[in-house]
Amino acid sequence: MPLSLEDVTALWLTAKLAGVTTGLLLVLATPLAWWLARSRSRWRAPVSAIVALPLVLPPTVLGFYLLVAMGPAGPVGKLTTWLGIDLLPFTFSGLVIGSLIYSLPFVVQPLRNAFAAIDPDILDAAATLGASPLDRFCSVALRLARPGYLAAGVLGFAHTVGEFGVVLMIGGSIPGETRLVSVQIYDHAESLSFASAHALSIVLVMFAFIALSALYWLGPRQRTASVGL
Amino acid sequence: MTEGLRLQLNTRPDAGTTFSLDVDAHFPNTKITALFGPSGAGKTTVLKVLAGLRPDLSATVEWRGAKWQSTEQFVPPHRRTLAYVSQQGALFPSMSVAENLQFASRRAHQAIPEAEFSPLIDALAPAELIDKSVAMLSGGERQRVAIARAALRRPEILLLDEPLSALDTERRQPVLAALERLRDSGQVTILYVSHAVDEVARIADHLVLLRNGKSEAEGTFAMLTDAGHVNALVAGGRSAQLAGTAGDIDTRWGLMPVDVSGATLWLPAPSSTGIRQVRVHILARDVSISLDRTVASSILNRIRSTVTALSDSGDGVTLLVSLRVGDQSFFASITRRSCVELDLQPGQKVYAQIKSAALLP
Repeated sequence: MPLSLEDVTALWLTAKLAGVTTGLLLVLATPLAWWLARSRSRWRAPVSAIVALPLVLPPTVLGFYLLVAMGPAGPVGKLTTWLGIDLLPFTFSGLVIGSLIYSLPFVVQPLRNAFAAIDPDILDAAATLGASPLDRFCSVALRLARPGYLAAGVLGFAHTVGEFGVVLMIGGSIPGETRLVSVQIYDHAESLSFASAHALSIVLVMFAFIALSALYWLGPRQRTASVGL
Repeated sequence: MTEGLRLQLNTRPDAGTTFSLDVDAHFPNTKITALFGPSGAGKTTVLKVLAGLRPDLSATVEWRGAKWQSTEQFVPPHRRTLAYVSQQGALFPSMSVAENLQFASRRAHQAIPEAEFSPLIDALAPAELIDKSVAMLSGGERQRVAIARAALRRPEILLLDEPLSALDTERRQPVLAALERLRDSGQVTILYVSHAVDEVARIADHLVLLRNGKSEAEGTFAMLTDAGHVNALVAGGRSAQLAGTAGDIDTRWGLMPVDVSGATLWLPAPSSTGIRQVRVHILARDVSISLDRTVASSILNRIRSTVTALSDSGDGVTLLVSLRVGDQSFFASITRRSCVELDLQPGQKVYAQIKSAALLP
């Protein structure tokens, strides 16, 4: 059975959410991963734990607290009301915020591994050749961490595509706004239209397979470091 | 002694180092200073402190009167007018050789003209390697590129950690000559970490001796040799260096004559020519003594010299004979038995035989 217009809309929305989330995460996670890789602060352990929390928490727990926080009585909800923005639950922006938190460890960890693998002598050499800390980061560290960025991008994107629990809690199922592929598949299965559920599901299976193949193929040396979360 | 680079470094084992460092050293302006000592003495740590890579250690670094590091202030490495070549070279693995070199030349200091550094860069010949990727380079090639990269930064101070350790002997000579020429330009201060006594004896104007994290002595090679500081560190025992003037190379045999206080020493000719004033480094174990000139022997170099002293080396077998040629002294290590058989006495005239192959200009 071919994909319906609603299915295509859900696919497009999912791709948009994953793209926006991954893009933002690559930028936001960079300083965090750098700090985690190089700092000797005693705050490193608790911060690492917080970053890794979404890995072990049931997504519904994460979604529940996000829903409460972004709701009219929650701190984020009060802030958005005060700023004159609508409440975030059941909006695309709300989904982006949820996805940022949900996929954070999948982007931070490969970047952190890539930064930690950079020989400090090489950064020292750059410093004594006249490169400032920012210059060192941009012209030496970023280039060396390229495989880490590839892994982080692929994993962050794929993981966001696959989210369900968080989405259901804070996004609901508004077509074109918050109804993602995973929700659409759930709805198809609930209404016993298994053929439609299968058509969409196979698209996701193919996507996940291609994404992971690309990752293993393009970054053979990074494989264990980046996927071994 | 405010001219040049001054370092005071004091750490205890708990301050992030495995051993304590107590260094007070001076590196004269526009000279080559060798930081010399056994491995584990703290030489690399000293270089890193000078380079600004150890803000965690309590040190005072002063360059030409300006404070680079103290308890109150810290000038970060990229603002210090120096270049540092670590032992492994630390080339950027993601870049080609050309990009590595450009990295330095784009960030070069402008104070010293580029031309001063070109003989050194020519001697390293990085142009042969320019198209290679860093991963394809051999150890010696890496070292050459790393030194060339540091030179392209056009530093006032060049910090070199065992710079020639991976180069073969043929390559070392032109690089040493180029470093001497750079020193002679009078604009660059060079700090040279090495445990190779022949290199140090040849190029160092000033020596800082480090042992067990302490700066033990400082001075010229001759001063430290006379004070007995250097011989303890050198395999083969006591050594000395003789200053001389090189003559024209005898191309038939590949030998170069060096006039040392009127006597002629024949040395293997170096591949680069044009060096006139040379220092010849002689290990005591490479010198033997005969009373007669006419002994048939494969030894080319026989210098008429005077015995000035005989001293026990402490091992019960050998003696150290101090010899003088003109106003320069050197040493021979001989057995006590030979000494008795030759009946050596202070003041006696003898022939010192030195193997040419053991000599390096």
